[in-house]
Amino acid sequence: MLAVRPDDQKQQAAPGGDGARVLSIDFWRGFAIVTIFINHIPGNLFEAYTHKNFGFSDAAELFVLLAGIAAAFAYFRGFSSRPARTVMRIGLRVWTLYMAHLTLIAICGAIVAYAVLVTEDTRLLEATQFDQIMGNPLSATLGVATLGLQPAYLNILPLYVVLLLMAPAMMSLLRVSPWLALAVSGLVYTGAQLLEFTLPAYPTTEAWYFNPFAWQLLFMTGLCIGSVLGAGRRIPVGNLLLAASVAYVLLALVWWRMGWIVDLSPVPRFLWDFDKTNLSLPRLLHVLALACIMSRLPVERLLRRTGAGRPLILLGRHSLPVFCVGTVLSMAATPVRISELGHPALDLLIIPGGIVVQLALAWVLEWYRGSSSTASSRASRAPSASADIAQA
Amino acid sequence: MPAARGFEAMRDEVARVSPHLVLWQVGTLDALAGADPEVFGRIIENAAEWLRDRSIDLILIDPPFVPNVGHEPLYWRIVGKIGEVSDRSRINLLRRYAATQHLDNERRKSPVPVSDAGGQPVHQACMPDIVADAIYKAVTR
Repeated sequence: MLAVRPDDQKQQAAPGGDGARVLSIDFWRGFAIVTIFINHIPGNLFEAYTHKNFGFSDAAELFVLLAGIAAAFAYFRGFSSRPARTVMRIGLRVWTLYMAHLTLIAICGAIVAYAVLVTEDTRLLEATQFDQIMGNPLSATLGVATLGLQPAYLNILPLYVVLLLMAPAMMSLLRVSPWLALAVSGLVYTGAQLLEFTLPAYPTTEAWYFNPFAWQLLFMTGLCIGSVLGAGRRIPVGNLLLAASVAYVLLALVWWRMGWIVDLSPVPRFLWDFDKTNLSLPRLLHVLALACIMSRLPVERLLRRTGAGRPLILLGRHSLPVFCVGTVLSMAATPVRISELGHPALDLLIIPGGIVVQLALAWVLEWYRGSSSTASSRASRAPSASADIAQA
Repeated sequence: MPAARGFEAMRDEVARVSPHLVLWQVGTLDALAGADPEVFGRIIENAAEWLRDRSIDLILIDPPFVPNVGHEPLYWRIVGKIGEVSDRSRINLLRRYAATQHLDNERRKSPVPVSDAGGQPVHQACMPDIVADAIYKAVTR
């Protein structure tokens, strides 16, 4: 599950450019992964400083937007020339993500079970939503396998699975026109908000934590951005759009820090509230505004010129295995924290320690990738040499 | 903070189903996160006020008590704050912590497991389900 697949290696290579990876995409993916790791250990010292505390959106929005961009880099060009083969590749990637999710549930469930056995605090089951699995194993097994049961903090991979399953249809529209693709995606988003359609949870009667029919708009936006960047073009962010983005991000900052709650009913809620499940419009606009601002900063140039962002680039380059290990570490961190009554000094050990473990994993995977490609290039040279000898 | 996310989810649910009554089981996640009780209390008060403005009744349900837990002080702070806020802001509170602590004391006095007529352990339903059922029966009786 944790091995790097060839798909991963191609993920951030912008096919329309010079073939080099887009470092800023890796960098921001790494940033999102670290942020998710911190946010998934509730109450820790560092949580108060992640960007969810300074605006409407959080790392989940960033993760999905970047997933869309990365999917465009990995599949869009291939989808145009060899659609069947690309759909097969997407299918294999979906299978990897599904397996990763199931493995995470098994490992995290074991961690929670061990913590309950050691501490005797059965409330941990409720807090992590593993109580349904332990209390109702027959239905829960079905729920886990069908992705209808998603314990706490284990709900972004199921969303990613569904978004990738939607990707071929999305890319078909994108091939016709990005505007058509965005219009259809926007219609589905609006329909999901107004008609309240989503995927059902099981065995509970609730719904998925992330409504894929709402979140697909952000993924589609990422696909559109990725298709443009992948063709070697730039997204034009004019001064007016930049000014509007800055103003919106500042407004969000003040709004969030002041803790204002407004009720603009009967205006539809998704237009003014901050519902994460259905990706309300203020959250969507916030992450897009951040993306507009970042696109005007010389991040790519800085990353290429200096090695400052290398740790985050490494994390982003191996996003799936790093994310999985981070999730396991964050699940294990909660029982450790409560055993010391949430003492802040422990956070100074847990958070940097967890990030170092993830970095070490990314470094090992990078080393393995390098040595594998060297070995495979040697191997590919060998038959040629044999052929030369045979011809001679 | 988990309570803040709970309040956010509550607003969503209220908009969807327009209830007359909300049963809010709150505090376990905040206790485990080591949340600041003052901030936690303010969120509960804001939520109660928000519901009051919409003429929706609220019953808070605090976390259950579990015996022999080393980190129990994490829960005391939150359970205490829920009690304090409910008194000050006149919010209905189902004192589950006190109730389960009492049941545990009783169980220690008579260590025979509670069972139904067939000798099977009594089904332990989710506390809000039991409360909702009791309220429904009381109203429709």
